[in-house]
Amino acid sequence: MAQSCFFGSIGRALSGIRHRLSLPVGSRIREVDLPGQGVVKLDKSLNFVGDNCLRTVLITKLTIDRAKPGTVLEVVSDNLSAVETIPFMLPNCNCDHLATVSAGDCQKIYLRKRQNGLPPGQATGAGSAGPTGRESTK
Amino acid sequence: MSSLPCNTTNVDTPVVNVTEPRNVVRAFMVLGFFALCSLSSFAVDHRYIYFSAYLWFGFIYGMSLQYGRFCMASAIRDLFAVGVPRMAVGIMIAVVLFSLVSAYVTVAGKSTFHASPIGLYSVVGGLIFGIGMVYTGGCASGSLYKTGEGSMAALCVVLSLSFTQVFLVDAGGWLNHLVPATWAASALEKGLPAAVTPSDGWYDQFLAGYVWNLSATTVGELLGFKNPIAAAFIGNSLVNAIIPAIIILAAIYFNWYRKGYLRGKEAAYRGFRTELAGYWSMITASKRTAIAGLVLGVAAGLHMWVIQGLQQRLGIANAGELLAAMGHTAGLSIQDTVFDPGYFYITTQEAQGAAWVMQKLGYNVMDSIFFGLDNGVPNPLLNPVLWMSVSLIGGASVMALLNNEFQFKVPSLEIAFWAIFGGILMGIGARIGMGCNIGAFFATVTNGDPSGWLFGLGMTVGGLIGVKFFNWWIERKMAKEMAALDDF
Repeated sequence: MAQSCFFGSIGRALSGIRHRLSLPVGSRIREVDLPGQGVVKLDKSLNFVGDNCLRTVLITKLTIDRAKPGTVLEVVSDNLSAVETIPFMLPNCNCDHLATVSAGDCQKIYLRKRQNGLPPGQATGAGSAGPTGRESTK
Repeated sequence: MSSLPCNTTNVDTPVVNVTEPRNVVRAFMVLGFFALCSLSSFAVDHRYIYFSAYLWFGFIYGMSLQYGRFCMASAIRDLFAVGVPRMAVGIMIAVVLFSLVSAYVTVAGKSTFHASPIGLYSVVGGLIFGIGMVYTGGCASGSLYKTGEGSMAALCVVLSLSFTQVFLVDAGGWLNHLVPATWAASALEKGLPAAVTPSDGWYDQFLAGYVWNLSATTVGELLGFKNPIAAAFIGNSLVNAIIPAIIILAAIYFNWYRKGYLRGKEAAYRGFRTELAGYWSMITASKRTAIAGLVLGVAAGLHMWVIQGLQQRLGIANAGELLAAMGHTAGLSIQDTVFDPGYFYITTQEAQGAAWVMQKLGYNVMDSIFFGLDNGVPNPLLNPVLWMSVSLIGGASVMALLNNEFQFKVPSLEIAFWAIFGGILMGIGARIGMGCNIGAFFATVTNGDPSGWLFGLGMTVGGLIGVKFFNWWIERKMAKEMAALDDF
């Protein structure tokens, strides 16, 4: 019993990535109103609240690498270091940083993977400009 | 923000700018606590000003580290994992600044720095430390400032690395079988007091039988400068710190920054001018990190000046003399000393704190060279360098509160596991490498000690190994989970 508890804990610890990538289907139809970007449809949301910086930036990068051009991602994190690092890594990942929005105890970073070869700002998907930065969910 | 390579908004700008009133009150309460400690101790005995000097420099370090998110684990991780150089750049800025201030302090005869022996142990220690800090998500100083932000995971790291050091330096038994015969013989030849049992304990024999046999020097001495100004500014600062920092920055620019910079640049390419503009753009890309590096570098240099000045004023060479004069002889080493580096340091005082707890629990650590002969185990309330660590946490708390970034966070089982596991590796690495990212790297390379670069090399390779392993782990073991993302 003690053995299974011990190894179970380690197993859960090592496979902790699972909960971040297994999100309900409902999360795919959300839309957010971002400052300077307008209403943007989200394709995926990654929740890293409570995670350390390495996991946050690494899994975000892997997710971006696998995403199709035009994909809009939301990265939720309460790790200040990761929140500041992610926008800096986006140019190297062929992504545009749309906005970073404060949401209480955490920050939400919005990014879009560029269409192949298109320069920044010409990627499709942005809606009308919205000044509020508030988030809406459908 | 024009200095960023592509369409990246200014991420330096805090999302929330107005400090909540309750956070201002809390920040002043923290500040008031340290001010009270400082003033009340001074009222008891004016010689406690020596402790207060450590305290307030620790406070400045904490504020700067938190403001710039200054962390060597971040520097290595961001560079190798996602190609972001801002933290590595900030550290190099701090290295250059600290080296210049240190050179000035050395010339003025106010330096407290002592070079470390040069040997392979620095690389090995740095390697283990580097692997550990990637898993914890913070280096030794980073974990302290993150504790000040309310991260209990970071506190787990601090505790883990502190207690690991205690167990490592006092471990004997089967570990004695791993001691090379030459180390054991050499340790015995030193004629050390029997109280520190030099023939028992892996670490004791590692120190007395191996490290003490190595020579320590600075680049200024190595290059044979007779003029102290030339030795400090040309040898120690220029050759050992500034030129390597410029070369490292150039390597970072060409490997990780240049491509993105040129891609996002609309003006025509103008050869060296464009490259220079890109180099400068990289240095100024994150103003927060650059400012933190600047403040840290200057403060770390001034710290040595102030401590040396106080030592001269108080007529002491070590805080142990001060404690003995004030009647606090418990916990002093055999030589009546305590750990008192006189500059920015992190891990040894934390090990002393952990050792004090272990002593109270009946575990004798004073039979080791590390504690019994060199550093002692004073009461944490009477440990000046530990005051610096505690106030570093306090300074980080104040800065976090003022930026509405303080958040009490209890780690999940997963994060706690990595924090403790990584902390153990960091503790082992710090003892073998004779310091951490601050004491064995930052403070050494900036004072002309080439052994710092050996530790830095090991730490970087260790960090790279840690990042590669983590990347491999996520990609291989979690392939099924990642595959779910392929349907975008």
